Amino acid sequence: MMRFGERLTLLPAALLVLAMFAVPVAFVFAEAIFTPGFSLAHFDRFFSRPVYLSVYLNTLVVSAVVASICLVIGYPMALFIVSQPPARRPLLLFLVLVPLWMSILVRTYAWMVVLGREGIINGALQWAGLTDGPLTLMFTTGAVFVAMVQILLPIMVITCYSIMTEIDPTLVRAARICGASGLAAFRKVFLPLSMEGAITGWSVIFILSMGFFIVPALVGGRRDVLLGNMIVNQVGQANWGFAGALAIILLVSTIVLLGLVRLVMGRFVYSPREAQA
Amino acid sequence: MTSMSLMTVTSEIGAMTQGRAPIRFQNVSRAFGSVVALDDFCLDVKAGEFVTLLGPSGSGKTTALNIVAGFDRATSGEVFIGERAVGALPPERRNVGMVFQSFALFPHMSVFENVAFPLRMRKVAAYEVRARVERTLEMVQLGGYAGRRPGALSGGQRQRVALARAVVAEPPVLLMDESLSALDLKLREDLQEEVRRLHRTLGTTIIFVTHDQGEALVLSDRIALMNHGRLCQLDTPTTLYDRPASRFVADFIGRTNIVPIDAGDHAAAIGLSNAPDGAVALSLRPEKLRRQPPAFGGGFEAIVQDVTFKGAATEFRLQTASGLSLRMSEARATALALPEIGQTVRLNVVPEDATPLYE
Repeated sequence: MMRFGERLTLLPAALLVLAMFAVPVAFVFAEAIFTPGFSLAHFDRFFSRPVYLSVYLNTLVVSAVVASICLVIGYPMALFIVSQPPARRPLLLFLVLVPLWMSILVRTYAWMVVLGREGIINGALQWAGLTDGPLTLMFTTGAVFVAMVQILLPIMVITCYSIMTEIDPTLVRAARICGASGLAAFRKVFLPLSMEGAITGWSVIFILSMGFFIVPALVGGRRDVLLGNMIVNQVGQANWGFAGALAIILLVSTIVLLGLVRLVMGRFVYSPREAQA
Repeated sequence: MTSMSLMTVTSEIGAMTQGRAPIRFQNVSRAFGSVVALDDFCLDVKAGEFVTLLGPSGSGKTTALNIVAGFDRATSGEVFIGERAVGALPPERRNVGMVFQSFALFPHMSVFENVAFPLRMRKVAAYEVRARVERTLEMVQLGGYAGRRPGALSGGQRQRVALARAVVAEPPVLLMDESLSALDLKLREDLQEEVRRLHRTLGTTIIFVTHDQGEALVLSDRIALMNHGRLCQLDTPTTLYDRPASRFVADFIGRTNIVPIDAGDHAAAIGLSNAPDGAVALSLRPEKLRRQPPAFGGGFEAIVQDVTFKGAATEFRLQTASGLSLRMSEARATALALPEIGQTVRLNVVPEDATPLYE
């Protein structure tokens, strides 16, 4: 049982969540079912039109793919940093974190400079004589993936790194002396112990991707539309009711998916917290 | 009752053990930059012997152990396990068991899985894994704990699991790195007994690393006392205690009084003028000093500066007329009344009880 004083320390955060999150969500929810009169018509519209469902599915797929690419690139990066002498790690972490200091908008425009018809890549390719004319790199699904991965990757590296530093290096030594090769020690000991970090990183990036709209709007093609873009469109057309319904669907699917991830994690993935149980 | 069933279980495992290998350090050096951790270290451990590497921190004992395990490489020199030079072998190919100070149990595996790990890595058949893990857990008195996670065990139980994991594959060599240092005193003494029994029944060669001289005396066949990366003295515990070769050894093993020979006439003043040539000091163990009734002649006088009750013994801090400070330990069975602080007592010492030190 928390004492009153301890609970008091949560008050500012609780007020903030209430004012900035709970109340607006309630408004959005109200908007979705009471505009114009009480009905579930907005939800009905979403689920009965294939266009909306395909955007919805696309959002899920893009988020899952982006999170997975970040995992495949970020986990080994974190592994590399942890394997370095402790004195060198802060510099490497710093380099990973630098991009996070720039706004997503700036970084997305930077990608336009890199990928555009007159961009750095096309310029370099033509200068080297590898291509005759400019390649279409901008306004493609590929550009969306590249930009989103670049923007979200540091989060994966940091999440994996922090759990890896918690792993006692003696455990890997113990596995080796028990007869495990370097690879077997990694697979049987290090990987399971760092799995929680990998899954947490995947989940966070998945959540963030689900809400992305600037990147697909700026570097994606006409078909690279995510749920976020659709919400922006509907708001632009003052379709508050439908925009609210989309927002609710986004929120609920994210919560449900995270719940599933946690469920799987609880069953198969070791978490340091259960060690105390 | 448990000890009987335990004996049968352990002797069964003992019968299965074939391997026990000698270990040889041949002029092994290890430098970290300009810091020399191990300096031309030579040591022969016989097959089946229990040798302790003892020394203060930074003496090179852990470096020596890591080189045997394969976690570290010698800058020069070679280590042999059995007939084989192991310098180029990775840890997993050395067939060595090891117990770590931090237990190093795999937290995501059950006790059973932890102990089964070395067998699985050696591709032992599943039915045999089960039988051997169960037998080894019985041996360390953890029969009913196979399904638990290490996090749910006490410190002593965890160390027993670590022991079981280290010996389950019956490696010819067992390495122990400060293995009992993380436990409290009573538990440590219990586990010391357990380790000795394991050594008797398995017959494995053991290299045990510790900074605790008491633990080294209790456990070892021989002790290799190290300092600054070098071997200072290699002897049985009794020889090391009774006949230390240097000031460092005399001081590190147990407590002692160092009586300088050159400075003043301290030695002569307490009746020890028989030191051989070349000796720089004498080591006189506190329990070798004896009080005698005032009526007796001979011996020498000293002033009592402090008296400490230590259970089975009483300890005195004394000062002689020549200014030498001495520590005396006296069994409580003595008929003499305890002196007050500041009182003068008469002491004597048998010259043969003082060990000459040459450095």
